[in-house]
Amino acid sequence: MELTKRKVLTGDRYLSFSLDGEEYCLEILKVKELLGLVKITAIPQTPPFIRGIINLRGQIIPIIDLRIKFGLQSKAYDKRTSIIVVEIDFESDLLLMGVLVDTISEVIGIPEEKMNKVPYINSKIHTDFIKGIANMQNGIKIVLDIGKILGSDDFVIFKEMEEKGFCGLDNESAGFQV
Amino acid sequence: MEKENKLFKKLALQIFNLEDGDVMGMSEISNQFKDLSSIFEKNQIAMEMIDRIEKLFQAVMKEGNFSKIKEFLLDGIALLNKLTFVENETDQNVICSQINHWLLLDPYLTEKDQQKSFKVETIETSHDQKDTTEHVLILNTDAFSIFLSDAEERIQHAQSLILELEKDSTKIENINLLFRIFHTIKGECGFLKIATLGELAHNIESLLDLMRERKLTVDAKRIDQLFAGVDLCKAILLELRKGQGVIFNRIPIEKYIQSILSVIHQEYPPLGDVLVNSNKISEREKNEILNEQKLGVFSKKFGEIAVEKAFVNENDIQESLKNQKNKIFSEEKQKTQSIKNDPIIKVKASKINYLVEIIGELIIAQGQSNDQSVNSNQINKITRTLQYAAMQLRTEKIKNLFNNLKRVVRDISKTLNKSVEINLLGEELEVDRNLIENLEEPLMHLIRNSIHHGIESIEERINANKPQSGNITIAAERKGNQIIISVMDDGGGLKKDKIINKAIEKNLIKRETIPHLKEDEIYNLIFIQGFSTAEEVNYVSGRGVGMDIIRSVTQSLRGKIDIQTKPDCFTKISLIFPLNTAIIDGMVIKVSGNYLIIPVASIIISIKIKNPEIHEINQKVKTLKINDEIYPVIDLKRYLKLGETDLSDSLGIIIENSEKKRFILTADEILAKKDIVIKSLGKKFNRLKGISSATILSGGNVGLVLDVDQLIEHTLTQEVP
Repeated sequence: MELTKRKVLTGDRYLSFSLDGEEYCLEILKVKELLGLVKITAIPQTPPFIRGIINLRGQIIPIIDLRIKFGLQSKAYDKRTSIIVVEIDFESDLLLMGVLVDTISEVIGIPEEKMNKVPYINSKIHTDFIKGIANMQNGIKIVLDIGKILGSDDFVIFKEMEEKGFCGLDNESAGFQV
Repeated sequence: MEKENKLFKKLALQIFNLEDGDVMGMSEISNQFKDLSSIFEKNQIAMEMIDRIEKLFQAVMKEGNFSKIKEFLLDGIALLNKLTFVENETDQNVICSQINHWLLLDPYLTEKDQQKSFKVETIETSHDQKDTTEHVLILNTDAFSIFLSDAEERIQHAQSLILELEKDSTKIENINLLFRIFHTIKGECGFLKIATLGELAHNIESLLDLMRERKLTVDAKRIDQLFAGVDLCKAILLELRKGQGVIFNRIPIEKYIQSILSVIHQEYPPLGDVLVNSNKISEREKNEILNEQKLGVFSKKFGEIAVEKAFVNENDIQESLKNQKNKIFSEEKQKTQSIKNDPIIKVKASKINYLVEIIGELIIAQGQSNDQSVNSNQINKITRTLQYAAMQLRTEKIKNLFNNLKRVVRDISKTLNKSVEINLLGEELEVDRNLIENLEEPLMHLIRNSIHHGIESIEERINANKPQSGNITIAAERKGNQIIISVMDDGGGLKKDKIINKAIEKNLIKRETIPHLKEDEIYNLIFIQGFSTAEEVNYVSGRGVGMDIIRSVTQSLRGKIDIQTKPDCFTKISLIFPLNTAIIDGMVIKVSGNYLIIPVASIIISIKIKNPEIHEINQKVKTLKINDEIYPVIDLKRYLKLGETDLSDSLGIIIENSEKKRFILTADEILAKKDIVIKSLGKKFNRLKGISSATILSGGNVGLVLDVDQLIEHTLTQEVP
């Protein structure tokens, strides 16, 4: 009988995923669930990176499009597009949110030595959002601080911003029939 | 010292060598700790440490995972060891603070417990008036939260009793009950080492004792004093509830206690002074006893401690007591409580909320399976019953709220020098907890307004042939699917002219519109922020803020306001709320492929728009004329920013907002009326205007529930320049 060898991971564990060809990762402890693409219901008065909300077994969860948040070009959904459901601490409450990504790769372990601090990636990704860069065997991964990314912005847009031409439901990018 | 040292070293070694799963070894070590307690018998803090360690062992022995607490135990032993060396107070205090730190590192404390756990009381040898900081140690958080809610309940009860006593000073049974209440609170404080509240309760108890022995008359001064005591207790309980390492110098009770002591000592001098005066003990000894009494939270009497410390003997005490002309407080035997058939149990709110949530899921699932009619009638019925039962769990009697209001009326009428009687109707009504919590503020504002503006002075009332005392009636009733809370006063009523003139003065309306204003609309003007016809502003009211608060709170609870009034006669303001806040009756519509839900309570009628008579008020606001009525149009397509509705071919739903103004919503399709289970969108969407929540419809689609008032405000104020 052959016993499957379990990969021994050293260091803290992260879930890696890809966005626009670049590999990112976030703490596995914050990940609650992984979903394929489901129907997203759009909500008015929200900034463009808020795609809308979904029904997760009776609970309503907002979906954030990381591509738009990071200023990358929007891409049409395909069968590999996925949602990572994370739980973050916001004002002493635990909130569930979904993060839309291109593909989900694997769970990796990043030992401390491999983690490097980086001052600047690009102008759209705030330095606060990035915990560091890991130089791994199969490439460079950008380690994100998902708590800061999801906790920072307002999900609702107010009148002043509206006048500048933000938000609203855009039927093309909102939702995808399952 | 040597012996103890050896003991500690041996213990430390054993702990160090112990392996996970070695339950025998663990129980041996646990026993050794128990033996330690004989060494530290006299030391309060050490006993607490050992107690904590014992509890830890119990928890660990179930799990078998010893390594978790190894380090913690080793640290604890080191600290206990130090305690045996240390002689003087300052060093002791240093170790105390180290122990505090250690306690917080308890690996079995959950995060929430850590926030709640407080520090050990430090030993203070001199009663320093300035330093009234107190830290309270909470070992068992469940016991503490039960204590808190019990104490809050008792204080509420005490308040009602004092109110009754004020009206009828012959009610001796009230004084007895009050005595028992504060005696119980004192006892519980002693157990939990909450010295300040205990001291307060002790002194109030002493006051009440004199009153029930008829050594003190029940007069206005005493009543005020009792109320002041109750207020201080409330303040302390509030701080304890907030629970951030309580520091009591925020709530100064020294003055109050002095005031009580001066009253009590008029009757008889304190035992300590008698003993000093007859040279039985010295002044220093007296202070020592007093301090010890305080630390023990007054669980022992002065005389007891004096005898314990061998400053005096029993005979001396007896003699002095006779001199004091006092009887030793006799313990009241608890009357056996009549066995109630329906006992009350305490349940954590989170458990109930969870249950209610699950039942909500059930209703959603049931909605989704309605297509297969497999005995669905049965299931429907059972689900509805379950839902009703769950809602019952979340309700409580409105009585408590009303009791507070009685007190408010009393205080305000005293301040404003008006004579007011209050009637409460329907206090047995069960109302959702959420509603009760939110209602307190608006009701207080309504009462303030009634007393300040509504009810006239005694003179005016006599001139108008009204009874001298004004009357405020607060009623709670259930009518069908609604709960109505109303406040009625027999004062001067709302005067239309006054309101209109004030509104013109403040530029809130234009003169031309006056003849067109309906009666409701005139009265609704009073809700605008800043509107007030009061001639003078005082701390009670007059700034024009109260009504606005009432309106916004009512709206947020999806309620409506109704005003009835007759000049010089009465004013009645009713707040009308839907019965269920988590499940509502909703109409599901579709707009450009999106599902929206309109609360049925706001719908008047739905129509097919044919041959529309459209008027454009300005570039953006349109109105439709239907059967001679003009309705402003709320274009839902535009609200969702998905284009514009073609009014010549659309469905319209006529809705009414909480101020009874009517508008027309446009929709592509009207689907069905349904029971909607409200799902919150989450904190992050709190500021969304026009959408209150979401729901899950059969088919798994997400529908957005519209907030009619917000929607109207958002779309119209956006567009009207």
